[in-house]
Amino acid sequence: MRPQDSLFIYSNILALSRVIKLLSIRYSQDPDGDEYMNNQFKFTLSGGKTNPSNFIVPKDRIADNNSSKEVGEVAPTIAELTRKLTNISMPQETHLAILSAPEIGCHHPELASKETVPVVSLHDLSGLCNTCPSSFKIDIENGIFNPYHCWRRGHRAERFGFVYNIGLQNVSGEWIINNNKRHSKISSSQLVLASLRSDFSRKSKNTEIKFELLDKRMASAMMIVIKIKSKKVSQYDEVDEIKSILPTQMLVSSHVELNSVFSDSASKEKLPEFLSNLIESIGQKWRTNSPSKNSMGILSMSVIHNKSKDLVDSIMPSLINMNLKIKAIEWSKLEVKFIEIIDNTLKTEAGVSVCLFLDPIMDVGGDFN
Amino acid sequence: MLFSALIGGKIIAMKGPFDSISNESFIVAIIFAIIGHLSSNRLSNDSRISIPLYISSIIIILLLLVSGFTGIHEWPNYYRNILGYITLAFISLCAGILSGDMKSPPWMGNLLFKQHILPQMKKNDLMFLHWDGEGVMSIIEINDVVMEWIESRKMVTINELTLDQFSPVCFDERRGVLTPGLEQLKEIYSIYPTLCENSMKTHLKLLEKGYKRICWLNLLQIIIPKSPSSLAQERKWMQTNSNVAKINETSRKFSWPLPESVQIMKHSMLTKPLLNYCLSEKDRDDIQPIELEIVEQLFPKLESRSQAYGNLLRSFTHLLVVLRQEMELTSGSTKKQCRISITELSQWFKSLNLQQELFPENGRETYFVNLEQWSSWVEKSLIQPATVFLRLHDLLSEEVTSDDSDHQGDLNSGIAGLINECTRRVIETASFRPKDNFDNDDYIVSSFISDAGGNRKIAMLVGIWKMLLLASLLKKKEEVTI
Repeated sequence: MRPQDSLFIYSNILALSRVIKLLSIRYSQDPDGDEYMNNQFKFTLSGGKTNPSNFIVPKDRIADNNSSKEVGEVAPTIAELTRKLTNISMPQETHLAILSAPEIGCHHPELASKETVPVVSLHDLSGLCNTCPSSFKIDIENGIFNPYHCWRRGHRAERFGFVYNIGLQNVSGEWIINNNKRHSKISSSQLVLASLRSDFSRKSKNTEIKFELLDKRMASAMMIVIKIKSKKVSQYDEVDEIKSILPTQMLVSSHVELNSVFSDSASKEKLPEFLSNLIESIGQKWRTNSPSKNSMGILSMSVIHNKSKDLVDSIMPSLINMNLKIKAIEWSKLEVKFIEIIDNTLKTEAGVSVCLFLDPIMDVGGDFN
Repeated sequence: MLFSALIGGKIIAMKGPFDSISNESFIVAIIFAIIGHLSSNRLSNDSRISIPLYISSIIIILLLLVSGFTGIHEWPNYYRNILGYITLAFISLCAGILSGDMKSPPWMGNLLFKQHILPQMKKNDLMFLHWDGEGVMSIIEINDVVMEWIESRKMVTINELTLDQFSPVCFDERRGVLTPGLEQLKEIYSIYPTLCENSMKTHLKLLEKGYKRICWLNLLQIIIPKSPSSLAQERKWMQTNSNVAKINETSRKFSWPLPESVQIMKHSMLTKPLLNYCLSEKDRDDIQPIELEIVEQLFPKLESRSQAYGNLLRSFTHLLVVLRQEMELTSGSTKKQCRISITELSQWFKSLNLQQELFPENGRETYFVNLEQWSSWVEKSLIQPATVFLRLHDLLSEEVTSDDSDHQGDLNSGIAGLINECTRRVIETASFRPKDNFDNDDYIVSSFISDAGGNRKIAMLVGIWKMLLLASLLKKKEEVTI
C-alpha cells in the first residue's frame, strides 16, 4: 500500500475517533444516559466537587488510630471510599462505581449469574464487555447492524455511528486507495459531521472526502466499507504517452521499460494480500485509538457482491484466515437503502464491498473515565 | 440717568418723582436687578433688546429733565409715581446688567482666545486634532484655524466645525508620537487673569468635551480593533502605548489615554452601537463605512462575510468595554478573570481571519449585542459560569443539529469547532483525575479541588464569551437565553 493511502485512511479513522471521544464528554450513547451525562458534565464544569459529608469516616474506622484526625474529617482511604460509593445511594453523583451494569442496559448472558456488577468493573480487562461480542451477532440482511442494547455498545441515541466508505481501485496493475470525493465518503449524524469538518479544517486538511447524513437505521453501527472495483482503470500519464510514441519513432530509452505489460490476473493475485493487510491495519488502528480502551478492533465482516463471484472467491480465503466472523452476501438480499449507503454502484455495476464492523464500544462518561 | 433723577428730585425738593412712591419700590428694584443680572449677556448682546433699552433710557432722561424744569409738583400724583417706578426699575435693571455676565461675555472670550491663546498654542507647537463624524482624523495647524463664535448656538466653531470635535494635540519628538495637548493648553490658560479665563471657559469646556470624545473614539476605533489585548493592562501602562492611525491620509503613531472612566452613564450609550454614538450621537444602527473599513483591514479574506464581521466587531467592542469596566470596578479573582478574559478573547479575535467558516455569508441576517445586554450577561456569567456554559453549549449544539442544509455545512462545522474547543479547554483545566493524585498518596486531601478552581472558572468564562459572541451573532438577543 502506498504510504499516502495508509496515511489518508488512518488520519480519517483517527479524526473520527477523536471527534467521537470529544463529543462523548457531553452526549451519551443512549437516550437513557442523557441525564447521567448531563450530571457528569455539570459535575465537571463545577470543578468535580463532591459533598464531603458523604465520605465522613467514623474514628474507629480510620486505619491509623493514633492519627490526630477527628471524627468527621474528610480523610477516607481508597478502600473506604470505594465501599461508601457502592453502598450509599447518591442520585446526584456520577461515579460509575455506583451504577450497576443492568442500569446501563447490559444484557450479557452471564450477568444473571452474577451479583451486583458496578459499571466501572465492565471497563476492566476481565470485564463482561470483553466477551460480549461473541454473544451477539450482526445480521445486516435483517437490518441488524448493532445487536447490543447497552450504553457502551448499543448507540441507541444514534449520535456516534458512522459509515466510512473507502474506494479501492486497480490502476495500471496496482491497487490503490481512490481518495477523491466520488469514492471516499463519511456518513454520520449531523453532530459528528459538523465536528469532523471542523477537525479537518483545524488541521488544514485538504478534505477530498464527502460528508453525508447517515440513515437512522444504520446510525448505531460503526462501519468501514472497502469498495473494490474489478474493472481496471488505466492511468494515462506522461510515461504512457512516451511509451506510445517511442516504438513508432523506432526509438529506445533505457529509462522506459516498454515491455512492462499489465497483467489483470497478476493484479488480482495481489488483491487478497493487499486487502488483508489493509483490514489488519484498520483493525489495529481502531483497537488502539477507538473511543474505548476495551475496543476489540473489528468484530466481523461482510462481503457484499454483485456478479463478481471470482473476485469474492479470490479474496475470501485470506479474509477467513484473519479469524474474524465473515459472511458473503449477494447485494440483492439487502434493503436498497442500505445498499445505497454501503455502495450505491453495486446496484448497477459488478463489484465487491467489504464491510468491516468496528467494535462500537465507548466508555460511559466519555473521556472522563 | 441718576444725575437727571437727582436733578429732577432736587429742583423741586418738596415734590419729586420719588417722594410719593411706597415701600414696595424696594421689591421692584430687587426684582429688576435680579432680572438684569441673570440676563446680562442677552440684554447687552442682543440688539433686539439692547437698542430699545438704549432708546428707553434716553426717553427717561428727557422725562426726568423735563419734569425737573417744568414743575413736576403740578403733575398729578399718579403720573409722578409712574415716572418714579419706571426710573427705579430702569436703574435697577441697568445695575443688574452691569453686574452680570456682561463683564466677561463669551464673544469677548472668543476674541481673547483668537488673539492670545492661539498664538501661544502655536508657540508651544500645539495643533488641533479633528475626529469627524465619519471617523476620519485630521490635524489642523494653528495658522489654518478660523475660529468663530456662533451666538445663536452658543457654540465655537473651527472652520465651521464645532469645537467639541477637536482636541489640542502635540507631537512628542522623543517618542515620535502624537499625544494630547490639553494639559499644555490649561497651562497657557492659567497665565491669564481669572476674568479672561472665565470669558474663555466655553472654549475650554468644549475642548475638554472633544478630548473625552477622542478618548472614547481612540478606544473604540483604534485600540479595540488593533490591539485589544492592551485593554488588559493597568491604566498607567496603557498611557505609554501607541498605535498607528491614519491622520491626514498618512499613517502616524498616535498615543491617547483611555477615557477617565469606562463606566457608561447615559442610557442612550448603553442601548446603541457605542462607536456610532461617540462619532455623532445620532440614532444610527446600520453598520458604518468606518466599521466596514476596519473589518476589511482586520479580515481581508472575509469580504463576503463583512456584515457578520461588522456585527461581531460591535459585539466584541461592547463586551471588551464591559469587561474593562468590571476590571476597574472589582478586585481579586474577578479582576483577574476579566483581565485574562480580555487577553484570551483578543487572541481569538485576531485569529478569526482564518476561521471564516465560523461566520455566515452576507445573505443571512446577523445581530449585535448592546452594552446593556452585555452588562447583564457578564454579571450573570461571573456568578454562575457553569450554568451559563451548559446552556450556551446546548443552545449552539441545537443550532448545529437543527439545520442540516448544505449551505449551513461550513457554519455548522465552525460552530461545532468552537463548542468543542471551549469544552475541551474547560475539561482540560477542570477535570480532576483521581489516578494522577493517588499514585503517591492513599488519602484524599480536601484541597485537591481548590487549585483547579480558578483556572477552571477562567476557561469557562472565556468559553462563555466566545459562545455568546457567536450565539448572539446568529440569533436575536431574546433567543439567547442563558
